Amino acid sequence: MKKFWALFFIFWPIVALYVCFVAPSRGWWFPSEPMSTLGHQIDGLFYLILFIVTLTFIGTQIAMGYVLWKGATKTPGAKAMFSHGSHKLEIIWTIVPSFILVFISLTQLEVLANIRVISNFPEEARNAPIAEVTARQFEWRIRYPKPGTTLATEPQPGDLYFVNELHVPTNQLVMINLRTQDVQHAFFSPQLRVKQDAVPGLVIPVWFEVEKAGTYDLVCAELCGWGHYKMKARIVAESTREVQQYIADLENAQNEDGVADDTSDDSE
Amino acid sequence: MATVTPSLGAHGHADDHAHGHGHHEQSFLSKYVFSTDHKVIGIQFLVTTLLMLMVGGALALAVRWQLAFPWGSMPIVGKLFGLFQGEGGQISPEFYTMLFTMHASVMIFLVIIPVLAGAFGNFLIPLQIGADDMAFPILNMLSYWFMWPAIFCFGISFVAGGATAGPANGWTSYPLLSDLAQASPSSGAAQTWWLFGLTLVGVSSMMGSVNYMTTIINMRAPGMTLFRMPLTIWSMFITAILQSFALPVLTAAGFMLVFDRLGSLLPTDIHSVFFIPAGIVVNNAAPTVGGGQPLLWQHLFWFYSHPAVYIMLLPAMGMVSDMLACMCRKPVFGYKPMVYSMAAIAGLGFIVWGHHMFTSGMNPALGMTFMTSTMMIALPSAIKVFNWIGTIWDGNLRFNAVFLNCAGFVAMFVVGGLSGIFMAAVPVDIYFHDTYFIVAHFHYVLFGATLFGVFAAIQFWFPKMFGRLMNDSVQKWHFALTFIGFNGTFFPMHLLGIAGMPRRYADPYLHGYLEHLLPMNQFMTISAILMGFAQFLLLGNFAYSFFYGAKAGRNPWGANGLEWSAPSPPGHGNFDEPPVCYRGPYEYSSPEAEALGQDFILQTTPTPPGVKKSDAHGH
Amino acid sequence: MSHSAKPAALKMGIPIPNSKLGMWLFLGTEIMFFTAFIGSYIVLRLGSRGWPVDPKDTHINVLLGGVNTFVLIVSSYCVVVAHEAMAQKNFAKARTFLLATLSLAVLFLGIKSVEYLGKINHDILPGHIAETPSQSISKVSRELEFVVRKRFREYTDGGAVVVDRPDDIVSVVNLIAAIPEGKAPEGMADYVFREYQVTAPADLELYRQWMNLHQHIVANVSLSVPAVPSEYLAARGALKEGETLPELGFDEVANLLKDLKANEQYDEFVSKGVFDPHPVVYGNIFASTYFLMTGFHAIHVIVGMILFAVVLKQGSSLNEKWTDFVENSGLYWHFVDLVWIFLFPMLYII
Ligand code: HEA
Ligand code: HEA
Ligand code: CUA
Ligand SMILES: [Cu+2]
Repeated sequence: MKKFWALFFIFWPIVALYVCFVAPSRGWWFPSEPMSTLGHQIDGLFYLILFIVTLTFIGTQIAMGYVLWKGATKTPGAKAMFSHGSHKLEIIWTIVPSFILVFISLTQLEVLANIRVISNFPEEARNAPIAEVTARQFEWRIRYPKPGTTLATEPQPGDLYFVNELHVPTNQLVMINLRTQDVQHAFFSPQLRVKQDAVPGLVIPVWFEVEKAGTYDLVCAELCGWGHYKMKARIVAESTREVQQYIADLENAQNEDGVADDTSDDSE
Repeated sequence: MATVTPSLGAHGHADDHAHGHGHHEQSFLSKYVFSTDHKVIGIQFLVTTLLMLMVGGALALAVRWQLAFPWGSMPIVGKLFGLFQGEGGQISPEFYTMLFTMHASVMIFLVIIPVLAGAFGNFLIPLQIGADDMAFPILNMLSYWFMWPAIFCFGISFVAGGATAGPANGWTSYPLLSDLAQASPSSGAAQTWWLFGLTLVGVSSMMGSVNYMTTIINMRAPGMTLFRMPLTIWSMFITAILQSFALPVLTAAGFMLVFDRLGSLLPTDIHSVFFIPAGIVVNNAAPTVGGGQPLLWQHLFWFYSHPAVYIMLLPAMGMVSDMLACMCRKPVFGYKPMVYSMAAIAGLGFIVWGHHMFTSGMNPALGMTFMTSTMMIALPSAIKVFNWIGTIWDGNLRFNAVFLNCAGFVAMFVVGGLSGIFMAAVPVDIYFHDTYFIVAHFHYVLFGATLFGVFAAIQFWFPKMFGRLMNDSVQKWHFALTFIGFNGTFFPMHLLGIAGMPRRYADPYLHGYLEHLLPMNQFMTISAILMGFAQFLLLGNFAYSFFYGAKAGRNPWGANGLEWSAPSPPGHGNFDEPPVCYRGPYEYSSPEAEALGQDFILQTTPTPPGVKKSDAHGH
Repeated sequence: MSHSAKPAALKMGIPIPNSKLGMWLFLGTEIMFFTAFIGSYIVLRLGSRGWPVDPKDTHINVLLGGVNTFVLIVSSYCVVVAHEAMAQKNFAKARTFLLATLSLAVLFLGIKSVEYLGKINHDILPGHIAETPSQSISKVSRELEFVVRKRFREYTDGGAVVVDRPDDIVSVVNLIAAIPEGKAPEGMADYVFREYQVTAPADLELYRQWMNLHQHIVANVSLSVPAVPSEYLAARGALKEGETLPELGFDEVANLLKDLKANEQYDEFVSKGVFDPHPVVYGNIFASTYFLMTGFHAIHVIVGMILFAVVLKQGSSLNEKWTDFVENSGLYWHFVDLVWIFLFPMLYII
């Protein structure tokens, strides 16, 4: 029976590792390749940590399995080792992990800076956010600046509006202004590996560079009420020309139903 | 701090302590209900929290049901809720949101925290340090009886706002969702009652922790120096410190939120605006007046709730160390490193709260500091893990359910901890934040670690509580089933997280990229039901052994702690005569012990003649 | 400690009574409690682009605050003396000084309530303060409406006019307008009804004034434009795309209110019910923090007073058993004092 339990504890990490091992082939893994440059960096770090952590996991579980098996097979009545511990070991297993941990945190810094520090980010795109995304219960409202103008913090006559669909050009760093009209939400695109909370009262810049044209999910990742799960939207990445075309169409559409004023034909 | 040199007893007098012992032949009411005896109070806490575990578990199973069979009407329970929900037991999104909110609130505030500090802290502290009771027995009793108003408030909050509008803003209750009554059906009366419940729980643990600290500092038996205290006591002490310095901040924040919500409480238009920025338009209501900051709440909340997660772990760590040493007939490996690492965890625990806000648009420089401190907190945890393994190493293992649960504790804590490392890394957390990866992480540490530790502790101290042993093979079955069900439920959550499945979603499959995860969720739900019903083994065994369990002597496990020198169950005042402590608690298989022809030696047993003292610490 | 046979000769721990140790630890938690408030205050203040400091806006009274600081310090001293007296078993003296402490505490609360009144009289209450001119304009209108409805309720409740829906103000107006010529509804004595006939015109005028203001607000038209609905709608109709009429000016409204208050007919209700418009940027968050911190401090003062009252209730039977109690409540009292010494400069001076 003792041996059974020892094996029990040796067995389960093997299962766990096996599941992780087959997961990618079963689709229990990232929804797609990272579709943004930052995404690649994030995945890189993820796999680095995954590697280190897997080693630690295997290490600790082997140690567990060993001591358990040793205990299970110990001749009954034999006397237990009498020891209050070992200074040498304590020092070893304090120093080694601390190096690993410091190493991990150091590897993060650069990417963190790329994602969060706005000054790391090209002037021109910084001054020209392509759109303002406003979250509200339970939808995403997109506001593009009137073609030829730059996005202003407050809505301008001639701005173009659309709901739950954001069009961005590929292969170029784009910046959006993220804000919320009511409670807190979070702008999450799994394929692009982008996530940023939309905090009431703040306008938060978010930037990313989509590498491949395509349609990606945009969902909400901060509890915002009963409809939290259904804030479903799409990010459409396409060539700059197509984006301009889309904007132009949007503009015509709006002028037909007379939402915007008639002074917008000087855009191109 | 406290010295070995004894100081005059005349000092140690508590004003209200005298009342604590006014009654020697007491009425049933004062003996079992409004008792000031720490043992009774501890047991009261234990039973209450076990019941709450059922409630929280039931809620969890409802959550799982929705995730496996979205919008499918629930069995039994569904009909149950259906009564006042008018949807034939079909879970509505509001209802789902309420389910996980209350699941978390119950599990954290009414199960884990009170079961560790309340139940075992109360029962063990005086017994293990050789005191006849807590420093302030009346306060102690109050700390239990403040649980009930809290439970009552949480209960009311289910229905206060109407059946489908229970509190549903997550256990973190971020404003503005939890602040503006119009923000959601659940943000009205329900949220207010929820906040009252939270505050009352706080008051209860507050009273507890001041009491524990005083008792541990001032009421140790002669010879019980700080470094002769069992790790359980150390963990309870450090936890109490954490509680008393973190909790007031949450209480303060709670008050601020209540004042923001004054309008939904009293017929007045006066209300503070701490968390309300100006010009917010919720549900087409008039724009808010304001000037407050929603993020302030997150800082205050996590300043408490991160230390709180260690409050929910440290006592289990301490108890597991005790039990492992006993079941391996071996001193704890590296006693002092264990103590220091617990202290380090507590200390660091105060400067990492920001890791819950990595995506909140916090200043990047702050993000980096919080990341580094969070990484660093893995270090003391590492030390503990390795020392536990060292304790098992080459011991005389007893493979009973107590030991198995402890081993489970260590194994599960490693998993939970390691997943924490991913999230500590800001860039990676940007992807993982608010996905099921987080949910996996904290269930591994909260259930996988803490609850397994609690299961072990229940069986280990059961004989001391009731003078009878629990049936071990039933406990083994309980362990095996729970362990399997647990991993079946929560291990796949890591993969869901990697697949980008956000948490708190009533119907994730609405999104194309998650549809294919339904089968996996159904598997998880089945495992959860298995694990859930496995808990009936525990409860059944608990009840059965209470009446018919094999009688246990004073020291059924052959352990060293002071509590084992007292009768089981100990009478009023605990010890036959005030105990004196001669050595540390972990001198298993020491030369001294062998001199007595056994592999343990009670802390109260004087060193046998002609044996050199083997106590490695205690001075 | 132990009440059992064996004398509790040996005891570990530190040489102070549990009760005192407990009190120290409790105060530790109290410190964290107020630290949370103070921290939030700092965060909120630094996070805001402005902060009301001018006494004209905040109605903070540094003098009263200073006096209160002094009062508390003296009271703390009295507790110390009282405790010493207890130690010397001079209980009469102890009682006198505890009494002094208690009365100083009362004085503190007295002064505090004067300060609070100063704020309430200017409606410096969180959630009430208008932060922009336009907000204060609509505030005036809201308060005016409230006054009008209050006046009209006199008639509806008094039975001078009989309506099924008293809240439907428009229907009430016509009935009240008919009162001066009308005659008492049966069941009402004439002399009572005459009262109403006297007041009715004034109240109607007040109603018209409010309605006028209200219409200008909804239509967002300057008061200089006459506000018979048809006319300002016409005025708006004439507007070209994108054009707007001049907005309702802050001064216009301020003057309107001044005139109303000048008019002795209904001056009393108006000046009671309507506050002069006075926008204060970040006023609400200021008021929130001010009342939060001073309020919780006041509660602590009251608790302290209860502690001392318990001792004084012993009267002449006060004995050395109470020494620890006095000492601990003294500790607590010093803490309350200390908190105030932090709050005073933070809220009153900086
Ligand atoms: C008992 C409870 C408990 C415990 C002990 C922990 C422990 C840790 N937690 Fe966890 N945490 C929670 C409960 C807990 N957590 C809860 C409830 C939440 C979610 C709240 C919510 O949003 O609802 C949460 C969320 C949470 C987040 C926020 C995620 C997000 O929302 O985006 C983060 C981020 O850093 C984090 C990190 C950590 C870390 C680094 C540890 C570390 O202490 C772990 C240290 C342990 C180990 C690392 C394993 C043992 C060590 C070794 C085997 C040595 C070798 C290891 C290495 C060299 C890597 N936790
Ligand atoms: C100690 C804390 C603790 C514990 C023990 C548990 C236990 C469980 N939790 Fe818990 N959970 C949390 C703390 C905890 N959880 C927290 C903090 C959150 C975050 C909430 C938020 O986002 O705000 C959360 C969220 C959470 C989610 C995510 C919801 C979401 O984000 O949408 C899920 C989903 O599967 C889940 C499942 C479970 C399950 C299946 C168990 C199982 O272990 C439960 C097993 C059951 C029992 C142990 C009791 C057995 C009782 C019975 C079988 C009674 C049967 C009786 C009837 C049916 C009448 N939990
Ligand atoms: Cu929007 Cu969640
Ligand atoms: Cu944390």
